[in-house]
Amino acid sequence: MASRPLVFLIHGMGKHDGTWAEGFVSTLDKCIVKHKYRNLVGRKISELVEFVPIVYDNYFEDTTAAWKKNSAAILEQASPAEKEIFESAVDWAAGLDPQSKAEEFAWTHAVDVLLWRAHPLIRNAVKTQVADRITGSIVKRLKDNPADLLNTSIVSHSLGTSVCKHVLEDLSRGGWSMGRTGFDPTFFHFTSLHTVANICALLDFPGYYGAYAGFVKPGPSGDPDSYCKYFACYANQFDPFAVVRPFEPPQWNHDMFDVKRVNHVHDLNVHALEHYALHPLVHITMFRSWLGYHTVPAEEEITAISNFATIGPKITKAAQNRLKELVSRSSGAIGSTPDLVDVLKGITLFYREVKP
Amino acid sequence: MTSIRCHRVTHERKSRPVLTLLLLLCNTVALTQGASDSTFAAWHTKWLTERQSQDGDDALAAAKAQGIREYFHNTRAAVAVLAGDPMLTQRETQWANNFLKVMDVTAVPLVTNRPDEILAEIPPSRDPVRKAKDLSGELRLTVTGDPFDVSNPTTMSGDFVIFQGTTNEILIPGNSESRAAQTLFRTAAKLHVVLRQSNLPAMVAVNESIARAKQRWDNFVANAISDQFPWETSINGALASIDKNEMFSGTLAYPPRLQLRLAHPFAAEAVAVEGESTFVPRMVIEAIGIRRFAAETYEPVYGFSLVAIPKLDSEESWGYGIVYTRRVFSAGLVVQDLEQGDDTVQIVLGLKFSQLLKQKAIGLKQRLAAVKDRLEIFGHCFSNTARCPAN
Repeated sequence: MASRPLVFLIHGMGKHDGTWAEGFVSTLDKCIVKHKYRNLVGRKISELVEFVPIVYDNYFEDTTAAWKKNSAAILEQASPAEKEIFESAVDWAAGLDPQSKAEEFAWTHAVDVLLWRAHPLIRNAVKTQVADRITGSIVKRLKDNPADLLNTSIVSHSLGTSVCKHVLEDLSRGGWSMGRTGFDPTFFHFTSLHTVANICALLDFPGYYGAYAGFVKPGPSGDPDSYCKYFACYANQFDPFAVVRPFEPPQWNHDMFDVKRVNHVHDLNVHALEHYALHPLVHITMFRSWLGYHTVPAEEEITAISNFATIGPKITKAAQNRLKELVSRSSGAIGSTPDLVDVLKGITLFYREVKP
Repeated sequence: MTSIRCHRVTHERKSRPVLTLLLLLCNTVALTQGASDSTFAAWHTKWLTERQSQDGDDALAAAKAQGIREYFHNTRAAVAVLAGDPMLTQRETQWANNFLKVMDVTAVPLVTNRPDEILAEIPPSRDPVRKAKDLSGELRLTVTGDPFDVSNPTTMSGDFVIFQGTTNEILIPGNSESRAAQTLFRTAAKLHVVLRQSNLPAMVAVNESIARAKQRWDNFVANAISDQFPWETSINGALASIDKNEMFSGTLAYPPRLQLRLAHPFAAEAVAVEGESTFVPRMVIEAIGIRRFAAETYEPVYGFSLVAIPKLDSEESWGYGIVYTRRVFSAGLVVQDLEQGDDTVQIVLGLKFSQLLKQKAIGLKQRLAAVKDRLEIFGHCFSNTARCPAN
C-alpha cells in the first residue's frame, strides 16, 4: 500500500495557532459528503492524505507582544515626572491592544503583512521555521518509507503564498546550506503547489522573489529551472486581495498551470481559505492532485459545479450589496499600483467590516 | 513460464550484473507479450495500492547490490531491449525510444571513466552538508538529475504522463492496454525511488542545517528582537534591507550579531560622584548605541551607547553621557546640571546591575556580621575557656 500524500498547509495573515487547519480540513470533509464523490464518500480526507499544518504567526505575535511588554515596563518603572515624558513615546505601543474584536481582527492581519514585507530579519526567522517543517517532514517520510513514491504538495493561502514562494526559492538555491544540495530542483520537485488568493503580485518583492521570477513555477521533474510539477492559483472575484493585482504569470506551461477563477459568496469573509475550499473547482483540483485524476471523475465534477450555489443560503441581498461596497472600497484603497501602505489600508478597511 | 524462471534467478544471483541484466530483459519481454485485459488507469490504481512499494524495495535492493551506476546502466540496457522488441506497436516503440533518450540525456558523461577514483579524491568532511555531498557523490557522478518522478502523473486529465512537459513526453491514455507502457511506468518509478534514496543523505544534511538555523533565529528573536521598541525593530529591519550589509542582515542561516539601539529608554539608578548623595531611580535613554550578540545562543555580549537623562525640574538640564553594557549589566557616566551644581558627574547603573550590587552588598554585610559574631565568640573563649563551644 502506497503511503499517503504529504500535504503542507501554510496559513495566511491574522492570528493562527496549532489548530488553525482544522477548519479547512473539516470543510473538505463536508464537501465530500455534500457532493457525494463516490471514490471518497464515507472516508475522511485525513485518512487519505497526511496534512502538515505549518504555523509561522508566532514570530509576528512575539514581536508585537515584546513591544507591548517593553513599553508597559517603561511606564511602570518611570516616576510620575518621567512618565509625562515617556508616555507620548511608548504609550501608543502599550495601548496596542485593540479596543474591539473587529479592530483586533484588522490589526493582527495588517501587522503580519507589515512585518513580513518590511522586516527582513523577521522574514528570515519565518522562512527558516517553515523550511524546517517542510524539509523535516519530507526527510522523515523518506526514511520511514524509502520504497514509496512520495506525493508532496503545498496549499498556501493569502500571505502564506508569499511565505511559500520565498521559502521554496531559498530552499531550491540551498539558502541555508551555502549552495545547491539535496533539495535542488534537478533532484527534487514538489508534486503540486496550490496558492489560494495568491498575493505574490500584490506584495511585489524584487529579484527572484518577484511573483513570476525564480524557480517557483511548474516544470518537468529534473528540470533545473522549476520546482513543482503542477501549480494552481485560485481567485475569487469578490476577494479584493486576489483581484486587484491578480497572479497572472505570462508564459507558464498551461499543461502544468491553472488559474481557477471562482465567484461564490457563502460568507462575507470571501478571502478565507475555508470559503475558497467550498467551491468544487477548488477542492476537486486539490483532491485530484493528491489522489489522482480518477478520484473525482469528470462527470462528477460537472454535476458538482452545476449544483453548487454561487450565493450561499445565509447571504441576503443586503449582505451582497454590503460586500460589493466593501470590496469596492478596499480595492479602491489598494489602487492599481499599490505600495505597502495602500495594501495595509485595504486590509484594514476589509477586515474592520468582515468580522471573525 | 519465462517470467517464473527469471524470477528465481533474481533471488539466487541478483548481485551479478550479467544475470541481473538477463533478468531485466526476461521481465521486459514477458511483460510485453500478449494483450492485457485491463486499462492503464485500472492497472495504475492496482499497482499503486498492491505492488508499488514492493517494486521500490526490489529496486533499492538491486541498486544496493549493484551500485547506482551499474543499476542505471542495466536498466538502460533493459529499456533498449524493449525498444527493439518487434512485437511493439509504433507508438510503444516511440515511448521506449523517448525513455532511452531521457536516460542518455540524464546520464553524466563519464569522461574519465573512473568515477571511483574521482570519489576517492573528495576529502572526507565533518561538515554535514559537505559530508552529504561526499555521500551523494556517486549519484551526481551517475546522473544530472531525476526526471523519473511519476508520483501523481494525472493532475490535469485522465491521461498518464511520464517526462511531462519535455520533448520526450510519454502520454499514455487512461484506456491504453499497453503492457509496454506499464513496464516503462514501473521502470521510471523504480529509477525515481533509487535516485531519491541516493539523494537522501544530501536532503538530510540540508534539513539539519535548517534545523540549526531555526534554533539560531529562535534565540535571536528571544534575545535581540524581544528587547526592542517598534522604532528599533523598524530601523534594524531597514539596515538589514541594505544590500551587502551582512553585519546587520546576517544570512538565512546566521542572524546578525549586531543590532542598533535607538531612543531606547531603560530604568537605572544614578548617583552624583561628588558630595553626599544616594542612588536615585532615573530613566535613561540610549540615544544611539550598538549591541553585540554571542554566536549560536544570541545572548547579549556587550554594547556601547550614548545616553541622555531627561530633566525633571527647572533646576536640571538634560544629562548626556556614555553607558557600557556587559551581558545585561549596564554602567556609565553622565554629566548633568543638577541642584548640586553645574556639570555634575553621575554614575549610572542599570537596574539589574544595581540590584546585583545590592545583593552583593547585602551578602557582604551578612558575611561581615557573621565574622563579627565569630570574633565575639572567640573573645568570650579567650576570656573564659569553660564557656567556649566545642568547635
